[in-house]
Amino acid sequence: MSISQNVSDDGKNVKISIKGRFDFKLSKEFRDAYRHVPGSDGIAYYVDLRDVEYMDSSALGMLLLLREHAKCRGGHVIIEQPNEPIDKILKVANFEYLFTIDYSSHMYAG
Amino acid sequence: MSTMVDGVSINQPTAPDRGHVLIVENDIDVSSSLEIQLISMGFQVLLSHSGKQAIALCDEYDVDLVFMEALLFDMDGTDLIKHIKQDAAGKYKPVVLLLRGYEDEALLDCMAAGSDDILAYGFTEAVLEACVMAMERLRDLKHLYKSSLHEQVVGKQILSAALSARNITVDGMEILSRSAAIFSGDLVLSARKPNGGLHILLADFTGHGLSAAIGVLPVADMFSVMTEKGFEPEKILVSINKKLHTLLPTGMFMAACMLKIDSRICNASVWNCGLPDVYLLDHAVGKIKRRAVSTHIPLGINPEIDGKLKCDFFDIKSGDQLIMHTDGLTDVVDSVGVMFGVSRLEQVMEEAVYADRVFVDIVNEFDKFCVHQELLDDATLVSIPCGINLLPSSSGEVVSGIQFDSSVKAGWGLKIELSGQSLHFVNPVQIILDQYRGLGDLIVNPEKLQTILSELYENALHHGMLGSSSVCGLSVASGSGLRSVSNNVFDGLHDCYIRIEIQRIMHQGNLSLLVCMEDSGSGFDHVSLLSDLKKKSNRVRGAGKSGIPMVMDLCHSLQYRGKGNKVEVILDSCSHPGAGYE
Repeated sequence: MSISQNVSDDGKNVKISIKGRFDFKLSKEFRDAYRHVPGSDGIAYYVDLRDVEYMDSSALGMLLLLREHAKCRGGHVIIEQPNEPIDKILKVANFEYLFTIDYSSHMYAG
Repeated sequence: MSTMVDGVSINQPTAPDRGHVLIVENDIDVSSSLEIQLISMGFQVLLSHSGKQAIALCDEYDVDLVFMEALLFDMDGTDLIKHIKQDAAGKYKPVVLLLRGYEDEALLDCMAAGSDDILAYGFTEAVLEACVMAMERLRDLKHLYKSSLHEQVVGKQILSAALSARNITVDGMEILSRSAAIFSGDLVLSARKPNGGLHILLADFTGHGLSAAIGVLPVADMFSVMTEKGFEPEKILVSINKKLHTLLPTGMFMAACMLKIDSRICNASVWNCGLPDVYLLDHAVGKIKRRAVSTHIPLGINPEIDGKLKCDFFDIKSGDQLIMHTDGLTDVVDSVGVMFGVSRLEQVMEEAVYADRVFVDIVNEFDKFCVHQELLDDATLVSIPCGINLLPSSSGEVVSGIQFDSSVKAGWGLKIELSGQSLHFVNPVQIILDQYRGLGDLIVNPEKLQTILSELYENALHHGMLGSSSVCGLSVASGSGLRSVSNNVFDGLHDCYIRIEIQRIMHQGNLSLLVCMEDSGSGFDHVSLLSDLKKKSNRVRGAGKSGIPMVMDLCHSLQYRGKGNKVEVILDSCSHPGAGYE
């Protein structure tokens, strides 16, 4: 599996980790990783990109879909630890205006 | 029951018509038992005992399905299969091989040649029926695929025609466009502003194929219409962003880069919203002189563009090259998983021996890199050489008469060039005025136009070509042209010319008339003239003025080009009393 998902005990934090190529082939898998999370509003979605080797524009689109999903439920999205080539892709798209990007290696609680 | 058609036995089925099935089988016992079963399933059966006979039947009848032996006595089975499949230019004809159990070698050859399934002898009727159902399903799928492919090809043709009709030709501009599917989500657009400035847009929609190409038409429309109306790139990008936001679903967007090039004032402005760096290559040293990085999120994501769009200014010199590309070009991966990459692209650009070879060098390197590789994304490369060739092609032509400009809707332009002795005999002002009246599209008052043309013509002739220094002093407002100039002045004018052009344009959203006049003279110090006039203009205004100051009072703006031998005047359709110094 190139996508793994992990929900904190209180259901407030969802961590989605992606490995390898993050492209249009992962559309369904990525959507499933957040769509079926049960429970409350105000969820923080952490998208861990440290092991992503490549990201295409469809992947940027998937992040935008997650952003909308989170926004509609009073939550937000944090992009975590993009490596250098991935960060370059995010910078070209100027996604720092749309997302919180966390470069530190801290782990979320839970 | 059975009837004879052209000497071939055609068995009429009692069940619903499932079309013609061709059986190619030398053993009559086997073929007739198969025939009975297929008739009961609703087929009309064509029987053939040899390959040659099968070919003849295929050519004569509209065959829907074929059962054949893998080993024929009179020809290679693969040849028959190829014939059947080749014959099926418009129609998919499934071929089922009948096997006895000793054809292993021929079997694989036949499958490679295009046969669709196998059936080993000893099959029950249910197995035959199942096989037929599978073949019919396959045929229907193939037809569906083919018609959707056909629809896409037609759609693509319509789209390409619509786009190429809008785009203008820019001398020397080269485009590499490789798409991953029939439709491309990459887009290159070009249009010229009424003042001759050039707008170029490179865009990359999310993904590729038909879904990515959906937004192409509205973007192309807005780009060309707004550019031709004289809007600036910021306004155009804001409008396109708004449109795409309502049009595209969340998750789809358009990365875009807009270039505005005015080669007369030697600069280019670049707005980069989510595309890779735009490069300015120096002609002299073959190095990357400047780059414009992406400063905005792609278009269509947010409903509004926050704040002012940032843009990069490039000073360009003749021979410099502007290079733009989409990420599909650098993200292509070779057979062992290595990416083409930005550093490779930049290396190729910097190692090019000649600036005008850069494009070809990149294309060669790209093709070499991804030979036999299927593209996963659309790749586009645009190279724009900067120099005098980016000017509108009107200069240098000798045209007289009416010219309708197709790039501006309902537009027109009049042009006349006089040279040598014709300067003596012809009054171009009167000719232009007559044609202008004849068009019936009086954007400005003809008397006003006559005054302005006469003043400019006097100046061009006396100052530019006859070397008089009295630019401001001349005044022949009545438009009688040059009758007052003595004939001998025109002697020795063989190499001289005057070009006059008037054109209907949209300027800052207003319908306007652009008047250009150019002469072969050596020009004059127009900078100090204009600054002198600027100082005086507060003191003297209105009546009593003549020459250039009067023209300025009558027009929206007046601008000298080059060394002063070319002047451009813009007249608004609404009466505009202010003189603009540019």
